[in-house]
Amino acid sequence: MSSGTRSIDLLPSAGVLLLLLGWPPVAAPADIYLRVFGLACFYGALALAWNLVALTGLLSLGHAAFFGMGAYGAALADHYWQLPPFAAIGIGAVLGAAYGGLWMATFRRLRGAAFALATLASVEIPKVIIDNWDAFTFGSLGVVGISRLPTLDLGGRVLDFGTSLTAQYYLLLLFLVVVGGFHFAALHSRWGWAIRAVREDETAAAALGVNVPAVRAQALLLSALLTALGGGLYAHLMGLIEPPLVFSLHLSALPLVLTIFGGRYRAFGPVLGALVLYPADQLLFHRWLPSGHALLYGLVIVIALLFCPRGIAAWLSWNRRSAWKSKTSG
Amino acid sequence: MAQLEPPICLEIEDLGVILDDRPVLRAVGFQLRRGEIVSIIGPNGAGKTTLFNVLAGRIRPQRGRIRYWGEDIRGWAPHRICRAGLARTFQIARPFAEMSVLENVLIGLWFGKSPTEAVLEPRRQALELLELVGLTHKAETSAGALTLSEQRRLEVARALSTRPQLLLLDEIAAGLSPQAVNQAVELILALRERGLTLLVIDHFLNLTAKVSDRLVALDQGEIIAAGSPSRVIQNPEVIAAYLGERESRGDEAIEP
Repeated sequence: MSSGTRSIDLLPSAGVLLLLLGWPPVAAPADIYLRVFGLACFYGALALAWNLVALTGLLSLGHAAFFGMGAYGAALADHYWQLPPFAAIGIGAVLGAAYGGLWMATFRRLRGAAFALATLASVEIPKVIIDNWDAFTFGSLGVVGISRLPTLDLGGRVLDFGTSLTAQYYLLLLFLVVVGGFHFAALHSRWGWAIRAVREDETAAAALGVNVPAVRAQALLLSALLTALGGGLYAHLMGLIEPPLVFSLHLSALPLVLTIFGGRYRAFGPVLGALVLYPADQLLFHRWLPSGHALLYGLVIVIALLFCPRGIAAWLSWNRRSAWKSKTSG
Repeated sequence: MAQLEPPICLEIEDLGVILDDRPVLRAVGFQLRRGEIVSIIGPNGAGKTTLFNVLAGRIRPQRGRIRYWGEDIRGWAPHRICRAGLARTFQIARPFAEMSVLENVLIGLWFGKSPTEAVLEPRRQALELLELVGLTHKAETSAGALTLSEQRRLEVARALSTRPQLLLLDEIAAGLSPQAVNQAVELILALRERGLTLLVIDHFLNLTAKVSDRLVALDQGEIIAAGSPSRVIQNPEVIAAYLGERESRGDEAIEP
């Protein structure tokens, strides 16, 4: 995390971003590629948001709670108050952050497996409430007919987020860039050093003046807010949501898989995981084994943990680092 | 006219701590004046480290008062106590194992005081602190790879990096060679020269006789003797407390 590792993070991040920005106009892609890589950006952003908490040393298995709260907050604000989509998404995001605040208050003393299990369980609470409160949330029928995203006119350049797959792709890419900015700061800033100290030894960190509860709270609230933002976006992109869809274990586990595969301690790690694994799953694996693609994620996580616990992003860093070391010692 | 005494840095009154229904500290009280070196001695389980944890904000005492420069700091969070200028080392070193030694010290330089009191040239200051404890050559090594005695020295450098006025040192000389103990003695005296006040835990009585102005002897959570080193070490109750330990454990406890 010295200037050396920052450049290791900056260069690949910039490269990945250029590639993502540039390929649609050049390749004139078929719809399926826009869809798949748009969702890869989306899940990459969710993985980055999830990792904000993981970087403080706590593994969450319950981020679907934030996603679902964000999705339902946005969908219901749209249904009852006919708010403009982006305002409704904002309401969902605040709702998700509020649930993050609740985690903070109740899980304050939990670490390790206890924290992970508590987060896993906490998804069920909003899910069961929404599933059964038919009069307000339409229960298991879900919310349908959620407004499409609006069309933006940027000085003659029309972006129709409601129907154009290209516009939606760029919107999801923007979401990735925004979350990626926060994630970069969580690694390479004064705040990032505090996060790292908390992760390595919170008792020592506190004794050296790091405000541990505040650092944890900032990371968790930001992570919850961004994840819920993703949930709201999803609701408006899909047009319908139902409890098992947005409170699914899959949504809690996927960010973990993508991040651990890609690399937990690199700014671009979670994105790399999403850009490699999600398209591989959708474009290749899904064709051979349509109903078993969860198997891919399970397999990947086992292999990654066994052979490359720091993720594929670490290959890059390790090579650089050992080269640098031999230079200074020799 | 009598000479003015230095101001009181730390004043503890009637401190009581109960952990798991067991009293660990009972009616502990003493004070430290600026520039003093005071050692806490006593057998294992006497409550020495608990006292440090209370002073540093890790354990909240059930009763009593802790005044630091006259301000009651009881119940303050550890980071706030650190920023007020009260730093500590850990008996079992807690390095940030995946950071370099230099980065370990930088954490204290960045966060040890409120953000408005930023340090100039933190890197240079970190290197100076590493030189003070003799770890300059290890600056780029990852802290997890240090030997035990190096980790102890890193603890001291890190505590100093928060720019404290009162430093709590927990067993920094335990298990060191006589030569290394002498280096620790020199380090402590050098720190006093810099204007620090020091409270030192020294179970094995390695440092006490050489550096302390006063001793406080704890046994089973209570102060059994306090005063000049020679008097306290010869106090029958103190000897009995250490002897009792020697009998039950068979190790050499009192070896000045």
